[in-house]
Amino acid sequence: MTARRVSRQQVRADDESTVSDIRIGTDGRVHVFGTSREILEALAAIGVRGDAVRLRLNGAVAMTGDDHSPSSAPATRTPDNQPS
Amino acid sequence: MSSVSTVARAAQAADHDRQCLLCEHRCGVNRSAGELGRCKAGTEARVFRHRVEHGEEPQLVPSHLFYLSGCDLRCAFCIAEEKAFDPRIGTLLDAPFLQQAIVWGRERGARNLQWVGGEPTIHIPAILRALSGCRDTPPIVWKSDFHATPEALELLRGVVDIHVADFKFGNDACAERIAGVPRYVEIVERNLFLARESADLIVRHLLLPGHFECCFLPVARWLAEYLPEIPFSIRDGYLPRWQARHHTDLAAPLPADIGPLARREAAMLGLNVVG
Repeated sequence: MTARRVSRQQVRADDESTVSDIRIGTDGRVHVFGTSREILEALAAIGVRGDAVRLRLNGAVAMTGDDHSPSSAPATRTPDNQPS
Repeated sequence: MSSVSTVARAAQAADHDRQCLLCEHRCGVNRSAGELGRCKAGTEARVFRHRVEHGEEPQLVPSHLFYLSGCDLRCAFCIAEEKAFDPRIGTLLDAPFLQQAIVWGRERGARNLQWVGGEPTIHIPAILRALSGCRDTPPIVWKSDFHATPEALELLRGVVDIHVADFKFGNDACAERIAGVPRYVEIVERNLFLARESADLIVRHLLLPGHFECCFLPVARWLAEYLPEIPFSIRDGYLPRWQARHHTDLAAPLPADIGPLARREAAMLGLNVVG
């Protein structure tokens, strides 16, 4: 195939490492991209429905030993149409 | 844990900097000389985001994800949008950066290091170089579109502990139209068998609106026939992003009832549904 030359320009990305993207659909489903433990705990505290939050908080507890008390009821979706 | 010398693997991988055959586009370009193939990647990899995430499959979290810019596919619905496709975006990946980040992630409870994209496959030489300069690396998770060549997967043998394969499409027509990639199904299926030989494997499928019959069902039925024991992660959080608005079938969120329907179907097929 035809090769092209690399541009020396370096594009700097905004640092998104500390930002989570939360979108709430009109049907009440919550979509989270970039799910930190703190986001999970907040979702548990407001009582999201389904197992997604509880299962992942359990993983965090298994690693750190910290306790938590997630409750369960709007449904949450964890990050989905991720790249690759 | 990773069992081979990443130094040796990095040396082998350097061949692809001079004639890149990492993905099945097989461009063969000399990236060291500044030539660019379909993914437009040079010899450097860049991280546009890294953080400890809890939204992955439960058996992976907390997972320290490194998002690399650049990809060999062009999925119209990619949530990372231009960051996934422009390999010039982000912080240079090198050993000092990675070592510091690994310490940061471990302090936050990460149980593994996960390479995601864009697509990490196109950056295997740079990733191995960076890893080879780090001490005490955590288990490696490789989240990929599985459009790699067998040569690329061989470079990962013994380095990667868990492959997470994104099996996006159940037929070549949808893959060609939405992601611009030919021969998709045969390539992914071949790579699933190869990856399973060398590491743990999780297969992930994002449910796309209007693609239950043409994509989900063929993927699920193939897995049921050939890899029924493999953890199968059904993702139902699709939102229209990037170029999805240009595709009438992809322009709306996934209907709420499709996720439960897919999980029931997968369970009836005997699949090991996780996540």
